Amino acid sequence: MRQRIFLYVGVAVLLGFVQQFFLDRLLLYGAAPDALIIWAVFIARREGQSIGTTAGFLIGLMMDLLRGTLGVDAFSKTVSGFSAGFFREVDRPSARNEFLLATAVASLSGVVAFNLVSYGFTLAWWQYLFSAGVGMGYNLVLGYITYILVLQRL
Amino acid sequence: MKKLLEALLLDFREYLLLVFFCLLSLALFVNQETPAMRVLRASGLEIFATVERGFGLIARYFGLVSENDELHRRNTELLAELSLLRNAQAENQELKLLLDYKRRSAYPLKLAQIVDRTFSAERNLFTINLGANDSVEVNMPVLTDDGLVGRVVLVSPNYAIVQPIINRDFKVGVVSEKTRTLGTLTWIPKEQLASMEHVLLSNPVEVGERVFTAHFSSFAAPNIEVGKIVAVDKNEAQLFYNIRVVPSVNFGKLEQVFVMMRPTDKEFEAIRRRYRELQ
Repeated sequence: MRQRIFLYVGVAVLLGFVQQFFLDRLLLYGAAPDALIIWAVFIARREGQSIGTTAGFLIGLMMDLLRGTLGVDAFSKTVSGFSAGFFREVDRPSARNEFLLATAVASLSGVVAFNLVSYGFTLAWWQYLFSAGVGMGYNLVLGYITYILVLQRL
Repeated sequence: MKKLLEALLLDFREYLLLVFFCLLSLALFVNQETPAMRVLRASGLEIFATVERGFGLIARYFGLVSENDELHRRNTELLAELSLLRNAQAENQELKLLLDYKRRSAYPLKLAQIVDRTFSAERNLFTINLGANDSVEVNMPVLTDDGLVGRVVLVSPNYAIVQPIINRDFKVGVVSEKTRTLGTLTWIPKEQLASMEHVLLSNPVEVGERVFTAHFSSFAAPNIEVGKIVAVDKNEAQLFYNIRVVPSVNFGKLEQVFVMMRPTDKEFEAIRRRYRELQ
């Protein structure tokens, strides 16, 4: 278990910097692919909802520290980790589809939480919808690629 | 009661965790401007900046290559633009001088563009874009603000051929500015200089004197600058000086010229022609 914790933390830190230096710059219509959501989903599916929620919070807190605004990412990633926890990995053959579904749900809930904390109800409904859609789409593509290339082997 | 609480904690552990972390996050968000939180944020940014510097060095190397290419491209574009502006400035300067000269001229002048050149060591010719339709006639002088260029030797409706000073067949009567010595100017291709001929040794001539068209010139109006005396050789065995003159016009840079609309003196031309026939 300790090894796995080190793996989770190490990868999260690495992904944090990748996110900050590279992925955040691929901004498209106000949304960027979020590698840390993918990682939170992976942890939540493997370890369960409690650990997923905690991992989401810690990952979000790390990103908050990197970005200089406390609370926003921690909140949204907590929600994402919690949502992904509903899709705990139990059935290997359908793992990929479940993973993608979990990613979609986690992204959607995360974006909604992020927008609520960041903007409250100041945006138009279509703006919330649009940013949620684009963010989810981006993460699904990234999630699919990551799953095929890396995650399914772990 | 204790068991009930434990059961509740176990059953709703995930939800309680969610609520706890969400409240904690919101608390961080709300209190992020407090001194303690500021220290925390500053520390985070410090770590981030340190790592970024490390990443930046790598990214900078790859970035420099593309930046270098971009700068090369921009440099080429700017050089082309600069060259264009310099040309425009030079042309503007030239046209200003020509315009000024045109205002000062005693005769009407027409601006012409040199559209073709025939280069040869001995017989250079220019073609200008003015012709008979523009009232240009044979023997009209062609000049710039620097001085005499040549004369019109052939005219078509829209073009004219100019025989410049730097043509072996060109001849013009000239007078030196200071000593008022008269002579005839011709081109010596071998030396790439003009020669002021038929100047008797008894006449005083000085190096550095400017030479102008004389009043007896068959085509040119008097007092158009032609060149500057650069060498005066006295050969006692001969009657005349060997005088070398550098034309005042730079023929290598010539683009626009004026045709002096000075009507040919028909009577003068007729008598000259008659005299030649008699000989």
